Amino acid sequence: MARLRAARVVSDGVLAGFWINARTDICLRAKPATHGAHITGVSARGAACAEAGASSFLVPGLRDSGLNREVCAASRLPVNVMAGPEAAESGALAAPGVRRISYGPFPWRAAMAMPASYAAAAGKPG
Amino acid sequence: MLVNIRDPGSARTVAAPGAAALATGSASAGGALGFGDGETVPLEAVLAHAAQIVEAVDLPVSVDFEAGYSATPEGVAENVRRLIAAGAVGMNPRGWLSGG
Repeated sequence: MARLRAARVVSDGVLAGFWINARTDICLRAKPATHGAHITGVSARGAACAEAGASSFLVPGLRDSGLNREVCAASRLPVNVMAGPEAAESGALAAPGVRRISYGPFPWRAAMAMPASYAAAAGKPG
Repeated sequence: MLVNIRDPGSARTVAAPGAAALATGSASAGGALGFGDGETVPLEAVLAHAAQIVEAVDLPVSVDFEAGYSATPEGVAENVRRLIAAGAVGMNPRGWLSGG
């Protein structure tokens, strides 16, 4: 958290409004079925991030719309989430307070899938 | 919705339909540079890559800056100062919170 404060101080000195989207990976590491038990911890981190000067709070891995609402309701900061294309387009992650839904690494993986399949086909004899 | 970018080319592709802002993904940008995720890309390469992306588009660019490439507040401050000098308007740090 000292690093977050340091980033806020130095950025305030050179670029007003520099956006620090502070991130917790709790829900990325924990199995989705256990996310409910982690919401208190997630929200505590969000509060600490707000206190340290974050601009928003990124919670990748959060999938459940009800838990998403809980995190948003408890957060002083705008909440950002991450999702694969299916979850993103289903609207399941949209909740009051969610500022942004990002695709994370999924566009990169999708873009590499095609050359990977071409290369695999080209590598086969015949 | 935000479609994370990985390089100047994907930045232009995502910007074209009218995105308001862009953000890199560390796994994506690292992969495009031939590295993996988790600060495996040398800092100098990350900063140069960020500057190239900023140069390619007329939109604000936020950079996935991992854990700031330093274990200390002083080191992070210096690296964030350099990231801003490269043209980034934001970042999404990870690994700075106690317990993740």
